[in-house]
Amino acid sequence: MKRKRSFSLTAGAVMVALIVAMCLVSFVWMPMDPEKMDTANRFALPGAQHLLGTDQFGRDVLSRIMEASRWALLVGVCSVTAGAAAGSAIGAAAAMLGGVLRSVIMRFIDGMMSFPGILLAMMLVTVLGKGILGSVLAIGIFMIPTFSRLVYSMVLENKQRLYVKAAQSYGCSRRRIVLHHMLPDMLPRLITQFSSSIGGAVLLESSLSFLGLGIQPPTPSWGMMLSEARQFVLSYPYIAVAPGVVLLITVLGFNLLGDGLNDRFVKRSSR
Amino acid sequence: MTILEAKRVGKQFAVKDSASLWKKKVFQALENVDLRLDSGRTVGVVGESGSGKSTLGEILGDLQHPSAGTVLYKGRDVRSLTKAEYRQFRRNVQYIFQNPKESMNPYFTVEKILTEPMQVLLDSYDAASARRRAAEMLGRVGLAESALGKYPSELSGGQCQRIAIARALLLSPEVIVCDECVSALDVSIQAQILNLLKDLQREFGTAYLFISHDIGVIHYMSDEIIVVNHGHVVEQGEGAAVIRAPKNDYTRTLIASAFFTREAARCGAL
Amino acid sequence: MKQDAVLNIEGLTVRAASGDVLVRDVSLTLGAQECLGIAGESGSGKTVTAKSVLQLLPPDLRASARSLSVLGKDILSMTEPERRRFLGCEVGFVPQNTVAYLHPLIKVKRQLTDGYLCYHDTTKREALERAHGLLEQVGIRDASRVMESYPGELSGGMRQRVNIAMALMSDPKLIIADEPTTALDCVVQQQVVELFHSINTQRHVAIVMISHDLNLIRRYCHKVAVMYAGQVVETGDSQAVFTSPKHPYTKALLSVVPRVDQDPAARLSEIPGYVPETGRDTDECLFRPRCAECTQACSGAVRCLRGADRFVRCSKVCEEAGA
Repeated sequence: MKRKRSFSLTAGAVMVALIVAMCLVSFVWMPMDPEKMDTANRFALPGAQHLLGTDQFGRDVLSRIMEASRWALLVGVCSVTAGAAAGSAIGAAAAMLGGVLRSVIMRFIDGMMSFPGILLAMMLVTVLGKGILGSVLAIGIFMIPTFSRLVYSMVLENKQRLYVKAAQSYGCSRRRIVLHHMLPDMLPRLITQFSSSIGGAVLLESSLSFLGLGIQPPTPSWGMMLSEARQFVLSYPYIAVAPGVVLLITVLGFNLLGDGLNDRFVKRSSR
Repeated sequence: MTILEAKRVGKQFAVKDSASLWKKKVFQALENVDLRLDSGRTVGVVGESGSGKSTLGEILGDLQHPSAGTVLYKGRDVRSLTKAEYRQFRRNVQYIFQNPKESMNPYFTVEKILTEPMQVLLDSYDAASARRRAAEMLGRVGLAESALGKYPSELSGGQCQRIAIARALLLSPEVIVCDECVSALDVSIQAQILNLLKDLQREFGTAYLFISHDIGVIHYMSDEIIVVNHGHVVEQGEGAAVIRAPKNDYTRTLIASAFFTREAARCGAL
Repeated sequence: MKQDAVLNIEGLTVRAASGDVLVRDVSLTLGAQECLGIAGESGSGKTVTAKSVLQLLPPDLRASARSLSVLGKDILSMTEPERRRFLGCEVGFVPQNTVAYLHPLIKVKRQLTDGYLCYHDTTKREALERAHGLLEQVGIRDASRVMESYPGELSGGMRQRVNIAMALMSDPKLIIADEPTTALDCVVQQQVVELFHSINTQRHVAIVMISHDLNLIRRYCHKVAVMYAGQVVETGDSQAVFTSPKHPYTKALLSVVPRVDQDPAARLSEIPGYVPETGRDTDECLFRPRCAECTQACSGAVRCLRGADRFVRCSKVCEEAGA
C-alpha cells in the first residue's frame, strides 16, 4: 500500500518533469525549425538526422512535438487556472450565501456537469471562436463545475467547524473567513484537483485540435499532428505514434501526480 | 449598567418530518426567554444537551437570529444598529466555546489566533503593539510568552482554553458568553479556569453569560440562574435562592444529582 | 492475592509503539460481587487499563503484566481463541459512546444475539427470547419494539440500556463499564446508574465502573481506585477513601469540584499545572510538581503504603505512618 502510493507520486512527477523539461528545452534548442518544410525528405524514417522522422511535408517530428508541448502546457495551465479561480469563487459564494441563490447557482452548475466534456467544449469554441484563446476559455469554462462542486462541499464542511463560528463571533467577514480560515484546509485538495485537471485539459485541447477547432496551423499541436498523421497511419505509423505517446505521458503524468498528491497530503491531513 | 437584554426571544427550526417526504415539522428550540446581563454580573444557564441553552447564547451574541422577540444592546435593538455600532457590538460581546482546540484554527499560530480579532475589530491596529498586548495577556492568563509561536495542536486542552480566554479579553469586551467552556476539561483544570474567569471578572467588570450542564459549576459562577428544559425556562432567579429553595421538580433533580449520597440523589430522581 | 478474586491485575504496564508509557505498574483486585470504581482525569490511564483486561487495546499499544487473571484463571497463558471465548462469555463490556458501539444498519435483536450465538450451543429462538427478557430486565418497557429497531431510532439512554443488556447476554461474572453515563443527560444518568446498582446487588455481578464523576463512584462503588498519569495513587474502601483521603491528589480532586452545598463566594481550591503526558517511565512521584504537600521525603523513588485494604502511593504518607 505504502509502496504504491509513493510509486504514483514518483512516476507522475517524473513524467511531468520530462514534459516540462522538453518544453523548456524547446525555447533554447530544437533539432530543426519545426515549420520548415523539406519536400526532399518527406516521411523520412527515424534516424540520426531526424530522431523521430519527418512528416508528409518533410517537417521534423521531434521539433514539432517540442514546440507543441509549449502550447499544450500553456493551454492546460491557463485554462485550469482560470477555471479553478472562477469555479472556486462560485462554489464558495454559493456555500456561504445560502438560500435561493445557492440553489440556483448549484443547479446551474449541475446542469453544466451533465454535458459530455468534449461536446460542451466544442459548443463553447464555436461560440468563442477557434484558436488558442478560444480553447483556453472553452476548457476553462468546462473546468468550472468540477472546482465549484469541490469548493462548495469543502466550504460547507468547514462551516461546521467551531473555529469558523469563533471567527464569526469576533466579526470576521465571510470573505475573510473563506480566504483566511478555510483556504489552508482546502488547499491540499485544490492542488490535487488542479494537477489532475491539467491532464484532462491537455487531452481536451488535443481533442479540439484534432477536430480542427483548437490551435490553428501552422502552429503545431499534438492533436493536430495526430489528425494529420491519420491518413498515413498504415504506411508511416511512426509519425502518429510519437505525438500519441507524448500526449499519453503528459495526461498520465498529471493524473498520477494528482493521485499521489492526494494520497500524500489529503489523507494525511484528514487523519 | 445593562449591556445585553433578551426580550421574549424564541427560536424555531424547521426539521424534516420522518413521516413525509416534503413536509417539515416545526421544532421549538427555545421559547419566551427574558434575561438581562449587567456589567460585572454572571447569569448562569443550566440545562441538558438539546435544551436550547446554547441556542440562547448564540442568539444573544447575534450568531443566530431569533425567530421571535428581540435582543437589545444597551437598550437598542441589535438589528437596528448602524454598521459602526454593530462593529462595537461585535467587539463587546465575545465568546468562549466548549472545545478550546476546535475553536481555534489549527493552521494558525497562537500569535495569529490572538491578534486576528484585534486586526478585524479595532480601528487603530498595528501589528507590533498587538503582539505586545497578546504577550501581556498570555501572562495574565498564566501562560508563558513562548506560547505565541506554537500551534493549538501542541498545547493541552487547558492551555488552549486559557488562550481562548485571552483572545476574548484582548478586545476588552463588556460581555463574554461562556458556552460550556469547562465541560471538555478535566476537573483539576476546570477549577483553574473557573477561578481565572472569576478573577478576571473582578478586575475588568465583564458580564458573563455562563452556560453549563453542571449545576455545581453554575452555582459557583452565577449571581442569577436560569434553568432550561426542552426549550422552556422552568426556573429563573437569584443563584442562592434557586439552589436552596428550588420551586421546580426538574431543578430539584438537577440539584440532587450533584449530591454524593445515594439517598439524596434517588429522592431527586423520583 | 485473594482466592475468590473476580479480577486480579498485578503490575500492568502499557507502552505505546513509540516507547511512551501510558500505564505503569497498575495492580487492582476485585472480589466477587464487588463494585470497583476507577476514578481519574482523562489521560490517567483508566480506559487503557480496562481495555488491556479485555484485550481490546489498539494494535500500537503493548500491555505486559506480572499477572492478569479473571475468575482465578490466568488470561496471559491462554491461547488467543481460548482467551477470546473465555472473555466473551465471562466478561461484559459497556462503552461510553453508545452510538459507536452499535452497528447503525443492523437491528437490535441481531446485535444482541450474535455474540451469544457464537459461544453458546443454542437455538436462535432461545437467544431471542433471552434477549427479550434481558431488555425487559434493564427497564425497557416495549422490548418487542426495541428488538425490531435500528440503533438510530433509539434515544441515548435506550441505547445504553441495550448495551447493558448485550453485556449481560452470556451471564458474565464481571462487567467492565467505561464511563457508561458520561454521554447521557442527568436524569437518564441517574436511572442507568441505578440499573448498574441493581445488576450488582441482585444478579451478583461484579462491576468495574470507570468514571471521572467522583460523586457517582462515591454513591455506588464499594471500592475505589484513583489513577493519576497512568498510575494508581490510592485504592481502598470507597467510603474510607472519600471521607479521609490520604493521597494529596485524591484530596485535591475532592476539593476542586464545585459543589452545590458550598458557598460560591469561597474560592475554589485548584491544582496548579497540568497532567504530565510524557516522562511517565520513572519511579519518582509524578504528582510532585503539582503537589501542595510535598516535602523533602518526596524526592527519589516513591514509596507506597500497603495496608490491609488501603494502598497509597506517596512517600510522605508512608513517612507519617512510620513505615
